[in-house]
Amino acid sequence: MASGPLDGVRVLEFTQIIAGPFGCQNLADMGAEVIKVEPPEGEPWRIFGQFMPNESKTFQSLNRGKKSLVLRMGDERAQKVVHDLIPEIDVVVINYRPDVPARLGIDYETLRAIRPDLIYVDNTAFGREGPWSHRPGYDIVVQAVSGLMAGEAKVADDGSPAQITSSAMADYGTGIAIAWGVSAALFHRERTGEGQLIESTLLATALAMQGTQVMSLPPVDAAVRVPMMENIDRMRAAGASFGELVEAHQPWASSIYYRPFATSDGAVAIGALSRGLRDKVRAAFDVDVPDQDDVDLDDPAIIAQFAAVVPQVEDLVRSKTTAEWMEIFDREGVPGGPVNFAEDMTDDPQVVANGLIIDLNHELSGPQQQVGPILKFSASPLVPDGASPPLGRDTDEFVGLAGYSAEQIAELRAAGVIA
Amino acid sequence: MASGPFVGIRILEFSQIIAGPLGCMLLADMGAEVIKVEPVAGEPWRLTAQFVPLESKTYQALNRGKQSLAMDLTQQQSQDAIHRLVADIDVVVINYRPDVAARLGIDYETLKAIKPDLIYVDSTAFGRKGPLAQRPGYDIVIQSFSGLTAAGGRFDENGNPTLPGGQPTADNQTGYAIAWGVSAALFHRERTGRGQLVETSLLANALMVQYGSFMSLPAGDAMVRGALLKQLEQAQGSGKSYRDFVEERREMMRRRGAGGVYYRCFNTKNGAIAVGCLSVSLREKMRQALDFTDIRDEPDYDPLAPESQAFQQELTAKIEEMIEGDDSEHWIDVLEGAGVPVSAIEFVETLDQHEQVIENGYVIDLDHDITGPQTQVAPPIKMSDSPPQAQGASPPLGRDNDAILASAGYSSDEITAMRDAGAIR
Repeated sequence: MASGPLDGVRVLEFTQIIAGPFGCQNLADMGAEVIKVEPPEGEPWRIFGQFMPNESKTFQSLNRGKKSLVLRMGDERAQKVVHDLIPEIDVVVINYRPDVPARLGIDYETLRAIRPDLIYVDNTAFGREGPWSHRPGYDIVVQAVSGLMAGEAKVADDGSPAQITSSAMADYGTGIAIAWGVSAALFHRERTGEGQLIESTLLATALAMQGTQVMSLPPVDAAVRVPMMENIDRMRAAGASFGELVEAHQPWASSIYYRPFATSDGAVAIGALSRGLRDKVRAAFDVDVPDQDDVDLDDPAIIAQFAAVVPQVEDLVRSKTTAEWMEIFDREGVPGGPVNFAEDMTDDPQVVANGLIIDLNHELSGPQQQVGPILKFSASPLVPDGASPPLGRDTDEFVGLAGYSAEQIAELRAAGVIA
Repeated sequence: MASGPFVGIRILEFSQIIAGPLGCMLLADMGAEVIKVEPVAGEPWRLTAQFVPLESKTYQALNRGKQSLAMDLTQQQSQDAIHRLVADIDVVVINYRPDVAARLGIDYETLKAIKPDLIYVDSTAFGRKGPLAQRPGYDIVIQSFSGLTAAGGRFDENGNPTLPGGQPTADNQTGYAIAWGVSAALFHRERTGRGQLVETSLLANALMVQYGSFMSLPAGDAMVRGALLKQLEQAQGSGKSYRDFVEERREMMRRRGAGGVYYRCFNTKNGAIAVGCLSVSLREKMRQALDFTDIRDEPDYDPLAPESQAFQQELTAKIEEMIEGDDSEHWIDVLEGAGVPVSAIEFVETLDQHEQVIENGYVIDLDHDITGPQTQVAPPIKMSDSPPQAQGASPPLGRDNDAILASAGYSSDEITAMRDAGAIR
């Protein structure tokens, strides 16, 4: 059975791909009943990389614990079903392009007229205002627009920029923002009785993740940001390549304190951001250089000394195994870890010990393991309520909840309005 | 004046660097009063790249709208002051290592005894349990441990792995998770009267953003994940380098055929663009806009067949050459006109001048008590009835000591005595 802080809250989801589905899955993990409205052919992510009809790994990983309600929303009878259901719904989450909700009769104004204290999350790529508001945007496009991709500075062999492959960051961040916004709005409704419109965008999330770089702070920026960007503008005007531009965008020198290293059999990363930890790093590597706090960082002799120690430490790290380095880091108190693959993590003892693996069973494709909820709650624990639903599994239940008889449901099905 | 859904909520923050400060800043944006407890010398992020004493850009970017209480928590009288203060606190957020909170008398059990409906967020690097629970962990360590670094698959010229992106992804995601967890726990408290312990970790959040890769799905994994894991296992001890593994993993992902020419970046004559087409209809729009044909969306298409792969290679080379033959502006016009998701690749530092960013109100102006005017990125969520907004710039160290202690019932004589003893700044 569902548990969690949002137990008893009902969410109607009109979303697809990652951001909206992930946001609503987070709400489902918290105990909300999430009804996902899908077109008769299934949402695109069901179909992308199917390993059996209408089932893909990407879909199953982002839609656990939900109900599936299939409606052909272009049909007015389907829109009527939604309107009939809205009195039973606390939260609507939508991530269509700006003009679509009104066309389908599921915009905030229309639904609020039916249920005045409705909480309505309108998630778009670029926001409701501005010259880009009408444009379609997927994670990769927002990575490009927002500076995330150029900040990644990854250039393919042919010199073209490469996307951020570690994660669809703008999407995942927005999925958490949606869950957070709904939770805060539920609190507000509980105190005041008022619902409201919440707007989130992939662009805002991507910028918030780069808050320090977006921030303009004149006393600091005069030294680095302003000359760097002036230089980039000049290079652009002169026709510089993307590779040359991202090079110019990273003016800092490498150090030994916060970075990954290759070892003799793999790789490790260390992260030392305070004086005390830097002392421990020097002890672990047995190097004799002063700390940056004790010297003039503009002194050419210091710059040369710091630069010389980098290859020396790289060679040293390469002379031992990852396991040997982890022993040394543990002994010296240096924050460090091996460089793993995500696929390795499913049976990692640290991951298992913290309950970050959950076992689920899908009705069609059988057993699976997923990442557990990222939050643990002591009084209202988060327990994912099952795997993702087969397409249209719950259509009858929720059309029935909207007040339709078995006969009416059969008629709608025969007309292809529901499935 | 403060606005947002959490006006009237008081938060005590014991955190530093990025994850905890970001989480509490998001809550401050929602109207909560956030009291940041800092060491008398300031938290480490204040001291990294200071441009005036005790002020850095990284600190100011992550601590807007908070109050600063600078206090030596190793002193008993400071711990007493926290205990007096907690009676009027709704939420505590802490990101110390597991053993530290109890040592300082600010663990959940101690504080809950004073304020039974307290919401207490405990954010750690590796989680409270397991062999690594006590290990210190920063974003870089967790990105590497969790698979993010390997998925980024980058190397410097000497073959060392490098971090994916300029962004601390594990920290950023954890900051959001903290704001979300507090919001849900406040809702729960409002309905039931009960507080609780909320736990999150950098590790949990780093895994969460790699959802599909982490997930094990026997019925669907045989083709890629199963083969990859088997290959990794065989390669272990065979003398293959980390780089070999990364390249093998990338090759297997590529073979799975995600994206092709439809979801990737291209060089243009004068820069670079990205396109993102993840549905059949968008792919068709791109084919029409660029006037090419593809077998990919035909019903009996087999991505693993050799002839399919040969076709895709040829197609990719053709499209790359075509796009490199004209300017970014041209391709954006053509693709945008056809309804294809597309963008030029921008640097984040230029975006506070971008009209899309400005018109949506994503840039806000603030004024710092010491360092003057600045602009920052706005709260990432808009709300119509209780709008979040930045409640001011970051506080100078210890700015609010006297006011906060007075709110806990301390007289000015008592405050002076604490200051003389070095318990507060």
